[in-house]
Amino acid sequence: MSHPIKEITQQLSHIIFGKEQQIKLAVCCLLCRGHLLIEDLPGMGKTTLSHGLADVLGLSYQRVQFTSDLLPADVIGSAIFDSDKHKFTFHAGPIFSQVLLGDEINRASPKTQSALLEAMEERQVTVDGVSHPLPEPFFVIATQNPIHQAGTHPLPESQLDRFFMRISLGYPSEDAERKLILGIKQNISSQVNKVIDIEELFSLQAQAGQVKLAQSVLDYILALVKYTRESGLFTDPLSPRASIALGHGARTWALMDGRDYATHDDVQAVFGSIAAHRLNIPCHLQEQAISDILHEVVIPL
Amino acid sequence: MISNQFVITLSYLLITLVPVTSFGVAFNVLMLLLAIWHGILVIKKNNGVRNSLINLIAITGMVITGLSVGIQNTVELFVALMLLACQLKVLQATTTKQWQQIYVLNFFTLSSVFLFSQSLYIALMVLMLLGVNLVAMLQVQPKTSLAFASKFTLTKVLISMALSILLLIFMPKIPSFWQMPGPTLAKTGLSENVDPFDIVNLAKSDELAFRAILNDRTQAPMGNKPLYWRAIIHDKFDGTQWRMSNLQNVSSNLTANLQLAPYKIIAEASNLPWLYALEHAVSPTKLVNNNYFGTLYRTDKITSTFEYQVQAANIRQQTSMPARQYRFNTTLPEQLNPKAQALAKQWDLDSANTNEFIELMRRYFSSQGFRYTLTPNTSESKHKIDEFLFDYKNGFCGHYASSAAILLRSAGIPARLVSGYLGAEYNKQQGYFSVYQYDAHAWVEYFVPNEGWKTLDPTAWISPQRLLGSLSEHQTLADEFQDNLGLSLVAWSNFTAINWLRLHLEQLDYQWTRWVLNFDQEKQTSLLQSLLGTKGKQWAGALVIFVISAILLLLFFYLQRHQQVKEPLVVKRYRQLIELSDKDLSAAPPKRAIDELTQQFSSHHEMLLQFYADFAADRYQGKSFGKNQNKHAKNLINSIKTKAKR
Repeated sequence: MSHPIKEITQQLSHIIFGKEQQIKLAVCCLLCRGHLLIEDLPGMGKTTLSHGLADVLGLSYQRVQFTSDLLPADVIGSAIFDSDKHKFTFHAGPIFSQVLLGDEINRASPKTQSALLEAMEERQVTVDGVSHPLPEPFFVIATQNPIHQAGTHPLPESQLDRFFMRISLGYPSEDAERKLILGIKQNISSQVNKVIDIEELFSLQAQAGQVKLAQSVLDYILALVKYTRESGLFTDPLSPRASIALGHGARTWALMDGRDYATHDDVQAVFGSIAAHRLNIPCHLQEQAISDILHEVVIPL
Repeated sequence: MISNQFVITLSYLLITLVPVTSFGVAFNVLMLLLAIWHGILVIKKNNGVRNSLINLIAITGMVITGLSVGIQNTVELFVALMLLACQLKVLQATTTKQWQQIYVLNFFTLSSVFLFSQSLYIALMVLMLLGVNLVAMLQVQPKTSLAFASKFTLTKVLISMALSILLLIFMPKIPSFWQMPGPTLAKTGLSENVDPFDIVNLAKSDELAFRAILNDRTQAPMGNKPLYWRAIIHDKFDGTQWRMSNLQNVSSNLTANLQLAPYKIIAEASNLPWLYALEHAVSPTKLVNNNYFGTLYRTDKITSTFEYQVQAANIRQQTSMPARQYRFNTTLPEQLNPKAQALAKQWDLDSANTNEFIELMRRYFSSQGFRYTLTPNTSESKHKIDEFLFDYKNGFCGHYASSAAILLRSAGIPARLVSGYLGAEYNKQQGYFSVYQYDAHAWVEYFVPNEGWKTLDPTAWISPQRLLGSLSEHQTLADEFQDNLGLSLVAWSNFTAINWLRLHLEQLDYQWTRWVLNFDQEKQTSLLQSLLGTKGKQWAGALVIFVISAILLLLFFYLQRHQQVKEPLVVKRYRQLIELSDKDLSAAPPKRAIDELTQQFSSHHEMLLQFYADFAADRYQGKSFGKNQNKHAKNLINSIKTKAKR
């Protein structure tokens, strides 16, 4: 693992115990300039992780707690009449920050969800006919509760596609939980130090593009995508956006591993978190479905 | 799967019991018992017999086979041992690999029937058995349905049939470099030594001896003139047997009578060198020799159907016989058959010339109540001819011919025995004659100064109908004849439908023999000529080359299209390596697979990592997997293999 990235994951493992894989995936997602969705039950450390990510990358962040009565304007901002100047001026919402932490995004109404998701894709906000570009970098780290929980509005499939990755943390191991109980650490910010600045982040993102993607690895990605489309097992097969994400994810994963070439293993490592939420399969079947796909599709060597 | 195994056993049994092969009763029983045993094992779902038991059966079986077949019959012995070995292997086999060996070996074992017969029916039978074997072989692979296997086999067999037809027609015929020793065929009606009193020699077989395609000019229509097909001349009598002298092998300078058109004969395998012809004949065909007697022979034995041309010979008028020859053709053992010799001497005194002598002889045979039978009395006496002539007075051609020749010789008239075939069955549609083993006949030739050798058939005095047509068309002897034949289609020729069927099957077999088995170089050339016109001969070679290269080219493109891209060497090594693991790593990505291997073979940790580095360099980084790396990979695989064995 190249030095700054190793440092990032190390820092994060100080606040989330025993979840190296998930931390790596989350970092990978951000290095891919992708938005991250963290799905889990309440109290699993979703928010802790998202705060940690923003801190460690040294990015400004705003947190929005999504509720059912939250309006789009509460997120993206609105034009307010300035009585001094006698005109409407735009008051930027919390979305105008480098990282937007959206807690429990599926508690918001579909209208608000749509406004956020649109901004995520366009990387700009249009209010009253005026476009306001969002800062660069811009990440959304959203958390959501599992869909079966009461009072949730599941995100539409088309918008789920806009999250580059979805991860879930799961219960910690016994050791990790023991540490948590005994733990003294309450203030998150004090535990996580900024590791890289924005320039370094951009440079890492650019390096990922230089990672070599061999023909056979490319073939493997295509075979995986083709399988979801042609096996007839999936109502929502993977889109070309997902294929691009797989390629990008595999390269970044390789970079994080300190390599300048992506392998079949890299594809498999990121496949689950990139594909699972896009395939529209019931929660409890997702894990099995992903491992089935990886088992069924012959790896072209 | 189980049923396939039993089908293989049944095909061995079929080959053992099919009439063309003869391994003796004991061997047949042995194979039958093994088949029944296998059947019981299959029903009980009890698979794989212990090795020690198999070995015991193998040793006993070899002894039984040796006794049953006879050590001297090498070809039969070889095939029988092969069948036995295969059958035992079937009983023993438990693994897929063993079954694959059996199926592959079966292509050889099942085809070995062709050593015994290449008739149409045998060819169809072998084709069917090979088809069944192919289907069974495909089903060794798991998840292969019977329907798929059958369809696959059928298409492949059809493709290869088309290919073999092309090869048959266009591939240049190359003469064989060596000859297989043929199996000894017991069923030929001819033998080199004729002993009429040895009942065993009587032909009971309805097998085909040869076919003849006569021209109108040489051939008198049926019913006018009996057809005597000469094969062997016996001119030495030792008291019990008529033997051939070595004059048989002396070639002659007889010339062909070119006024008569040649005719064709297709001889079936007889395992004897003697060929058949009407009267004195010569043959222009290669491999065929003419001899002093005007009969034809080959230097080697006829082990497969053989087609040759026959031309009537110019008979030189012999005014008198040289003294040495005269003595040779009148010699008889003096002490034997005194009554017959006395009778002949008496007739000699009573007659003025040979014709009168023969007339006296004819009168004797016609008036003394002689009877033609295929089941004559057997005799242990030294004076067999005396007993036959004066006591029981019944017999078949061999008895009459032998007695007549002895009577002639006793009177000082040069005489010899001829064996061959009499009569023929005519096929109207195709215009050819079929001669069967049951048409085997013996008659006499005697010498008259200034006239030469003349034919005399004493059997005709007793049973004139015998001369007309084939024995199968003979009415009065029908019952007796059929008793002798046992169960065969000829035996049922009284029923019109069955006779019709028999004749049509026979016709089919004729076409098969003529156009497939005997499609030789000559026929190939003439076919190509007729296809290509008169210039065919020049073009034939070019066409053959063209067709063969076209086939190869098509095959090449076909394979090219269907063959997958060959895997790079490094991938091949990688696959070999992951094969070595206990786990199924075929679905795992390379790094994880190598990690698994590293855990399993921790002593090869370094080497495995090195291999993965080479693998990644080749597969992901565009560097090449060179000789050194390959050597390293091979060492690694071998090292793990040897370790695993320990």
